[in-house]
Order: sequence, then structure tokens, then C-alpha cells
Amino acid sequence: MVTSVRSDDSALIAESLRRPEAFAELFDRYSGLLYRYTSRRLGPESAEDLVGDTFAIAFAKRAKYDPDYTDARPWLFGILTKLISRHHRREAARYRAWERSAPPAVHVESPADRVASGVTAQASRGELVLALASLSAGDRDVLLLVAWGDFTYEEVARALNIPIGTVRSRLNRARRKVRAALGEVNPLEGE
Amino acid sequence: MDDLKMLRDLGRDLEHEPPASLVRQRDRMYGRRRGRLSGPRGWLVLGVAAAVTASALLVPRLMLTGEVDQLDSLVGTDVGEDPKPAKDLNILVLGTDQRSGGRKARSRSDTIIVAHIPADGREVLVASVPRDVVVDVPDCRGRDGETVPGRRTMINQSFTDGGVECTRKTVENLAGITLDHTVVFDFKSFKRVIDALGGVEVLIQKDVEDPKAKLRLRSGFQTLNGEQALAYARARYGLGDGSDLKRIERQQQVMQAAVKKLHALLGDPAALMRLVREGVSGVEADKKLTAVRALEILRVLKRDGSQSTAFLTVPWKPAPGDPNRLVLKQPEAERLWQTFR
Repeated sequence: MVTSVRSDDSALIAESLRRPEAFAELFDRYSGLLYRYTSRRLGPESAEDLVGDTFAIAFAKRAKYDPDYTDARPWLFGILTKLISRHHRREAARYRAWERSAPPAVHVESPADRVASGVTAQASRGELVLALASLSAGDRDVLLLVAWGDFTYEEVARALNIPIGTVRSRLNRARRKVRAALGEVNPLEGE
Repeated sequence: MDDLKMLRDLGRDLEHEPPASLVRQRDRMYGRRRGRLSGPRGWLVLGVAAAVTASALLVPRLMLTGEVDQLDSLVGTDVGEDPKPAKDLNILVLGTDQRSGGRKARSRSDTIIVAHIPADGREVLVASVPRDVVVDVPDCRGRDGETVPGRRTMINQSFTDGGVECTRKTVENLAGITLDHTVVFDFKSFKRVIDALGGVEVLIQKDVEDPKAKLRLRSGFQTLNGEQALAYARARYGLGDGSDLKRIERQQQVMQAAVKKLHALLGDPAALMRLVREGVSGVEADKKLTAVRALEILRVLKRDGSQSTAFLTVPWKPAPGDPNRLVLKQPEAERLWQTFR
């Protein structure tokens, strides 16, 4: 499903140079995706504005888009990530607050399907979310683009405009920290 | 357990669905003012959609009131002057998902729409109220005649409690408006009406393969029958990005297509009659909504045309302390209701 969409993002952006309305189609494709990702990191309150900002910036910069990349998502997430990084303190505070407010064992408010991952996993959520809060902004960007954005290393490198080796080293460091936080409390690897 | 997998699970817990209002951010790209509701290319244009489809569903009222015999002559005489409703009208339209085989009492209101039709016919406003917005539901008479005490709960609970009368009171209370008419239709009648219209033509952006909704469509302009149109309008997964926003857009797309067909039918009494017969069993309207009134409304809408109807969602935000519920966002919601008064 996604593959067919990817093929023509760049064509759409090119078309929007002549016909600005075409850019709205890009919004329709990805605004929901960007919103969900932002809501995970910063909560729903500011997600709407940030998605709007992202597209406003993208629209202004569209002439510089490299048409070799057919999929515009790394580009959009790169812009978004920069905007989110301005709020990295608030992001960490959100994770800590979530840890404090989430019931430790059973997450009552969640729909049943979300609970499916089980109580054991739930117990270490707190550790996980605190580990996220403690990561450096750069490491967290990479980790979450991979885990929540489902991007490849190449795409993350493109989004953040950093070498792919840096993506790997940041990701490794971030995952090491996360695993350490989980391992100390609840070594699940042995299952 | 894998740390990335745990992280993904956590992400899902932290995630929020995009609100319908997200679409307004689109206009910012072009430097337009935020919250501007109507535009030339109309992501919201379709609103009429709601209004006119609603009116399409008003037509069946003709049969319920026994005025069906007059229909031909009423439609036939509709030339020359444009009679207008004497005053602005507010109409509550509810779409319900009656469970197949279930009793009537178990149907829930799935779609809540308030349509404002100004006497001058200038701009029709159609506002949908998210069904899980938390509001003050006043004391209502329950379905068995008992009194259900007022409380703060989701707006669609009012329909479950006390039917359309209870939802009417709730919305009047919430919006500070008077609702002149109410129309309730179930999705089965929606299907039949679409079929009676001869299907609706919709532009499918890309191939659709959704076993869950039993829906399979090729991209391009496709004529959907009632079953397909309903599945397309209601499906949440396997289409677009799975967001409710997309779902609302598809609903509007279908309504808009229905409006087109309907307009063509207004001059064709025989086809209109067919529509009436098909739609009638699933539609209930209040007693004041006579055939003449319904036709007046239809005429205003017909002349009005879809370009000058604004479709919007009443501004809302997640309820404080409960991300699974919504509350109206003030003062934006109040500003919207003012235009309905």
C-alpha cells in the first residue's frame, strides 16, 4: 500500500512549484502520520501546531527538494524532528510525568488490544520511559525515528542530515542505555 | 523481549489520533488564516453533502406523513419563485448504526450533525459533533418512560438513554440554539438510498484492499453501490493512513457524490419517488417536518449549491485527565455556535 504512495511524492512536490495546491496532497498523505508521531513525543496539545509548522516550512522550502528521493517522509520528519528538538526538556518532562501517572501493573485506560502485551512488559514500561527521558536529544531522535517512525538507517541519516555511521553509533548507544535500564529491573531476555 | 518491540508498544500507548481539526493546518501553507472554513477547493465544501444528503433523507418524510400523493404535484409546481423558509432553520441529523438483528433500543448514534440553513440561503453550515465529546446531558425521558437523571457523559450516550429527543435537548443545551427539526437515519437506509441513486461516483486515490471491511476497489473514478459506499465511508483501516480524519474525508466524499446525483434527480419525480421508497423505512423525522417544509429546504439547498456550504467539526480537544474522551474547545466552539443562532 505504502509503496504506491511513495513513488510520486517527488513528482507532487515538483508539480507544486507550478501549482501550489498540489502540495495539499502531501499534507493529506502524511499529516496524520506526523501528528501521531508528534503526539507520542510531546503529547496532543502541541502536535497540531507542530504538524502545521512542519508543512509550512516544507512548503516554503519545496524548491530545494532533491527529486531523486521519491519518498518525502524522511524530509518531512527531518523538519519535524528539528522542531521537536526545541522542546526536548518538555519531552523529557512528559515521559517522567507519564511514568508517575501510569498505574504500575495494569493500564486501565488503554483499550483492550493495547493491554495485550501483558502485565510483565507493563511493569518495565516505567523504566523504559525514564530511560527515554534520560537520553541525549540526538540519541533520542535517532532511536525514535527508527522505533516509532520505522525509518531505515539511510532514511534517518537523510532526515537528520548526518552520516550513516553517526546514525549507527547513536542508535547503539541509545539502545544500550535502554537495555541497561530494562535489564536492571526486569531481565526479560531470559524468557 | 526485544527493546525495540517494547519501545514500539510504549509508543502506541503514548500516541493520540489526529483530530479532525488538523486539516485546518493545511491552509497555513498558503499563508491563509488559520481556521478559515471555506475555500475554493473545498476540503470542507462537501458539507453540503451532509445537509443535502440529510434533505434527501427528509424526502422520505413525505411518505410518513401520508403526503406522498402530493409529491408529483409538489415537485411539478416547483418552478418560478423560490419559496424560502421564513426563518433560519437548524436541523439535527443523526446517523445510527443499528446492529443487525438487534433491537432498536441498542442502536447507537454514530454520526451527529447540526445543519444551519439561513433563510436567505446564503451560506449553509454543517457542523459535526464528535460522538465521544463529553457534555452535560440534561434530564431525559428514557425509552421506557422512566426519567434518566442528567449527568456529564459522552454525547452519544444521550441517544442511547432517551433517543433523538434526548439528543435534541442535549445539543440545544450545549449550543444554545433551537433545533427546528430532527432527522434520524440508519446506515441500512443510507445504503438503500445510494442504490436508489444508482450508485455514486467517487475518485479512488489508490487501490483499496480491505478484507476487514470486505472492500476491494481499483484506483480511478469508480461507481460505488450502497454496500461499497458505506464500507468506503466507514472503514477505518486499510485505507489512507487509518486516521479518523481520513475517514471523515471519505464520508464527505461519498456525501458530495450523493449530492451530485440528488441534484440531477430533483427534476425527475419518478426517480425521486424511488428514492423515497428506498429510504423511507430507515428514516425518522419529527412531525413538524412536513412534505412542504422538506421541499422548501430542498429548494433552498438546491439553489444554494454545494460551493457555499461549509462543513466543519465543532472544535474540540482531549478531555483533561482522560485522553480517550473529548471536550469542546472554548472559546472556538462558542464562536461557531454563535453563527447558528
